Amino acid sequence: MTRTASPKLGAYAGLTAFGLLTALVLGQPLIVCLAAPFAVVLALGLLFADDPGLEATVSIDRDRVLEQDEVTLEVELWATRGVSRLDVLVRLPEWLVLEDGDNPVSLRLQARETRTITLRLRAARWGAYVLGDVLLRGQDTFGLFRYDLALPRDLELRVFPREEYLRTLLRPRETQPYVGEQVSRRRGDGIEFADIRPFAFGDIVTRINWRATARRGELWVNDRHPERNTDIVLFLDTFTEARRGEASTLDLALRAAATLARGYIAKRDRVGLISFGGNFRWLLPGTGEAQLYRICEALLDTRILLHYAWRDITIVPSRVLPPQSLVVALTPLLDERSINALFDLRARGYDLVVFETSPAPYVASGKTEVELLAFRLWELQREALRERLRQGGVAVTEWREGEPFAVSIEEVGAFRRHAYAGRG
Amino acid sequence: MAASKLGWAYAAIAVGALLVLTAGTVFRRSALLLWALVALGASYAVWLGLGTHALDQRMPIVGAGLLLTAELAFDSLEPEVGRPEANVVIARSIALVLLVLVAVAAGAVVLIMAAIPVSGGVVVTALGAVAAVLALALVTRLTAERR
Repeated sequence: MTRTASPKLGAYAGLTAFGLLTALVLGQPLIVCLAAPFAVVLALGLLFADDPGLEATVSIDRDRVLEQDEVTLEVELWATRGVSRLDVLVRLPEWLVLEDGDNPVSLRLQARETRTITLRLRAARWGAYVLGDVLLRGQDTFGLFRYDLALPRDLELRVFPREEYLRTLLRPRETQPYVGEQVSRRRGDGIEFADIRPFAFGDIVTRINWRATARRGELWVNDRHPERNTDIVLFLDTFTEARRGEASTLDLALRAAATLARGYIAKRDRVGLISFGGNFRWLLPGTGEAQLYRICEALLDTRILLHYAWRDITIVPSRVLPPQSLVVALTPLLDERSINALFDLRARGYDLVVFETSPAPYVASGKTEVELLAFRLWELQREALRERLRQGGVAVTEWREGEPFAVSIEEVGAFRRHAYAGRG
Repeated sequence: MAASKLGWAYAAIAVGALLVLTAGTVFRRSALLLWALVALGASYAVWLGLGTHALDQRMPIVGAGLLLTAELAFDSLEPEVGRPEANVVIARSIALVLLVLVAVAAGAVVLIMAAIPVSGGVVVTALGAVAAVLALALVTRLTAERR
């Protein structure tokens, strides 16, 4: 705690000195009447001023919450001596909104009294926040001294993106050799019936289809689709974003990424992450709760970083993009580098799906005729880009704030089913 | 004629002091407040200097008023911290009332002592000067220690 003299101390000392000296010089003892009150306040203040022994602790009820959840922050105050006025300011990060409680607040603290200030905060946006930055300023009774105490920022609050409700997930075109919950297109041991075929050496007896065998006069066996896991790579475009107020395309992308990661990991699939932007980062595909936490932590650190260097898909390590994996791109389709990377991925034969986190709601269409025309041209350009991707066999769908993500998933699923059917 | 001129000077100093006080509270400058208070005190001293109010009975009240002005002016310099709790406001109000009462009492003591007929002389003047210097030294010392 640091103690500083208030401006009042110097002013009162000056007034006292000035009054006494003036009275002495002019020989007017009555002028002392004007200086005496200031001298009395000064004397009393100096005699009774002492360190109040202020102590404070800050705590939050949870350190991990979801977007739009509320968290309670408590500042507990205690003082050895009374503080006639104590100003308490809790510095809050930008996206933690005060819902209930007074901040800053001015209060009175009695000697050996414990006071608790409770603030209810709403996490308006995902991210990792550091809390605990509390400034306390106490004053003595006469306001001559100030006692400042700054508490260290040592509380961490992680706000995870709110997840969307999904009934189904996208089925990748190919599966991996490990056991999972996705029905493979290949044939082997499994539950789902695939076809029947003539008995071959090595087939087990339980697989014999007796009805087909009786009809054809020779042994026929059932073929089944095995249940396998898949590799999913979440491709996050972090080159740029469109933002208006609290909402942005990056928020949508992160929400979708968190939703998909949880969904696929719950089905024992391996999920990897590529943050393709100014700050290029990746996570190797993996499965299990630990991987889910790794992905969530990586998502919290995701930032839009302005970067001018050209980047393409060749900078992605090959292990991050396993063969036959499903690449789910979450992009506003605004940056040429990420668009080229998507075309490149498709050209390399990856099963690619693009969820366009639409920037359109964040762009003002304008008022004048020219502005409206420009906006329309921009929209046509974007539609042409989507069409180019579709022609390349990439399922593209637009997802906007306020719409259920499940609808976009269904749209993509329908496109892919149609594409497979067309391919025969 | 001279009294009229002094009256104008008194009025001019008082108005100037009020302007400086206003500027100090608006621009949140404690130095301006100090000079405004000095000027207010000086204006009263000039008024006394007219010679017709050599032993003004209201002097303790004027001194207390000056202190109240100073307290309120310095309170206005405090940073805004939202809505203070009711007990803070009540405690501060009580403290101000007590301060004013103590100031009136201190002024009254000085006034009574000033009214005591003491034959002047070099010795008394010297004693007064020494007392004033000692008081100043004490205040300075305490201030330096407490900073």
